[in-house]
Amino acid sequence: MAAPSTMKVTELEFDQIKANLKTFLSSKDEFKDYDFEASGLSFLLDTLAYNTHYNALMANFVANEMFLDTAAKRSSVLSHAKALGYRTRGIRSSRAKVDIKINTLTLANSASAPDTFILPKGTAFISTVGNTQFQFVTLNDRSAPKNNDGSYTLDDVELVEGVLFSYEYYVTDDSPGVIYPIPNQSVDTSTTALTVRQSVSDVTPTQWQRSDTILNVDENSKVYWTQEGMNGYYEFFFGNGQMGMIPAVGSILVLEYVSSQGFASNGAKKFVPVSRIAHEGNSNITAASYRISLSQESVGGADPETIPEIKHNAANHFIVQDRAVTVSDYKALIQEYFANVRSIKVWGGEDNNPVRYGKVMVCIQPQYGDYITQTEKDYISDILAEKSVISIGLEYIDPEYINISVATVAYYDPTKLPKSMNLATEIKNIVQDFSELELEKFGQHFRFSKFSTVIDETDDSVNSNITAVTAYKTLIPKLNETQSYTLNFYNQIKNGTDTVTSTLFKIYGEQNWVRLSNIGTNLYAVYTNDVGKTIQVAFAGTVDLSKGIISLSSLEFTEIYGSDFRVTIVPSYQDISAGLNNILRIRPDDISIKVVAELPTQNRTLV
Amino acid sequence: MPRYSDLNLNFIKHPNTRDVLKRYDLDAVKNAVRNLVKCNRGEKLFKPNFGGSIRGLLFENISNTDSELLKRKWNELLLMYEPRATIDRLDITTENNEMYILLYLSLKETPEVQFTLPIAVERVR
Repeated sequence: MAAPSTMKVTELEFDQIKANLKTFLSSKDEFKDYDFEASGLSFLLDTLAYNTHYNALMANFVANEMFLDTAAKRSSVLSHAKALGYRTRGIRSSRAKVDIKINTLTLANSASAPDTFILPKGTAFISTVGNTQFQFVTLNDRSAPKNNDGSYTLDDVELVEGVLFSYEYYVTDDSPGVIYPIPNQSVDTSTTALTVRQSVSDVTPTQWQRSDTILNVDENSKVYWTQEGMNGYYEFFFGNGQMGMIPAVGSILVLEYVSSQGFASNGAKKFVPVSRIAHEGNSNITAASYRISLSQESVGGADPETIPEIKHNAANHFIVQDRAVTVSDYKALIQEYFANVRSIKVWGGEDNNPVRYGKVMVCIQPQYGDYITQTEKDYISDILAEKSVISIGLEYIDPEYINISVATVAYYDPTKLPKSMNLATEIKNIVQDFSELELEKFGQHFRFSKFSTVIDETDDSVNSNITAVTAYKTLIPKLNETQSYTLNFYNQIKNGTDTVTSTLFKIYGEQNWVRLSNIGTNLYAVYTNDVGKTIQVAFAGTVDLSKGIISLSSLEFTEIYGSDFRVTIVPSYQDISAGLNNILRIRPDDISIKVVAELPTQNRTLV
Repeated sequence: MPRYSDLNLNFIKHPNTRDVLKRYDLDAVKNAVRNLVKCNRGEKLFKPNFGGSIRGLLFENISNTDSELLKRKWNELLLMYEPRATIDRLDITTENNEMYILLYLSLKETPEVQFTLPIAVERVR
């Protein structure tokens, strides 16, 4: 029998490999029982096929792990990232700022009130987010001089979420490449502080600095680097003697770090000290009465980078080469160094309206909250200042949120609806998911037909839906000040009456609650009298219908109804586009769902 | 030219050719049936149902009913994995922790060709 002209060598499955061996044997005369599973030859084929299968799988796994794109094991991804010069970001603690005013002190054992009160490093506070309690600590000593009334005021005290730990290492080897593992998987490496004592008797320890680079590091630099180890624990290491000093044998390394709970601790607002607030090094002096007021709620907490995030960021990092030149450089660097980013938009000042030459405009949607804080902006600016081109400045633009309100009437066939299903709730959940997945990021537009289809596909029982869409923006007017305001919706507004409205407010000289109402391009403050007639109170501004810009001219707000002032538009088209720094979203409170049962044979009564 | 040819898993050397000894025709079928019934379930890779699991019978109280059940069970196995033969009768005798099974088989394609296959199982420790 002629030998097969081709031989398949690409199969990985055991059965396919065995089938190939049988095909090969079928061309030979020596053995003919290869097709019978119980034959001795079949056992031999099993062994051969298993061995081939084993090697093929091994080769497949090894090949996969050899490339960043296909690697599945975290340790492999870390190794590739390291080769690209990328340090993975571990867990990050959220940070809050509080003002502490100590009114009176408790002085025990004849202690006297100090001229300067020092809040020591490691002072712990408790805060609750949701149902979970988190500990926050101070990472530095903070001092405040005594006020004339005997009180002490500590402004903007930074509290870092987590528990402060300290771990000692004894140096037994001063050769390059020695790794010191940190025995805690939740370490926030940005909080590490290393002090080195030459020996047990050394009472003047030196502080070594954590470094992220080898720039400006020489043989006298007392620096260390951190990295994620292959086992998931972080570790730190020193230079090689020429690039960074190595502690001598016999030195004692004391590493302090915060063990964090990451993203979950964002949003802490109320802080209570775990124990009495004591003066540094003197437990006889404690705060008797004090007030802690929030300066900035906790933000910036983040979980460790996931494998897909590392793959994405490491590749970008390599392209960026740690320099901020192009738009994508800025994006990649901010995402690498700053964890609290959900979505980011960067554009050159030449593309801005108005044009801002020599500026890079950065707009960040944070993971937590609507806007990043000034502290976070300063932090990003500091990092980018070292990496950007001289004379190019950074300018932050806060994202503008355009909220979409949807009012849906869904018609459904009750005979098809599962008994356990609450259709209205189900549709509301679907709409929220739609907002989360399809909107809520820069450059994501609202496509009405997609949205409508999603509602129809909620369940087989949904026959159709009729949905009305409006959009609104919130404004914080300055009360009792005459001021002009401009709201840009970036979408064409429908021509007509009452296509621009607002929540209620009061203006100077008018006792009634009024609202905005337009007639074409003119905008008025109006109210509805007892007989239902609309009364115009004042001219309130103009509307550029085609551009979607509302200009409120010289209005003096004296009071607004509710927590915020909303201006709502009816767009010309049901699709809503997002401008450069716009984020579209549908908030749960802006979803109105009504379900109407209709049998297949029933004529519809429109609601 | 033999109809069936298989490998002797004892890998006995042919005295003249020095090659591994082969089994032909009826011997090849006997060889296959022996392999099948003496194999334990799960032993053969990716074939979890393959095997007569004869070792599991070693400490059973074997009766005539058991012989009949075993015959049916093994015939089902033969149907799946060794379709050349069928078991016509199965005798089991046990003695001093040893078990002797005598299979009376016939070839499916030529039922007139009948043969026996003795299988002995004993404790080794």
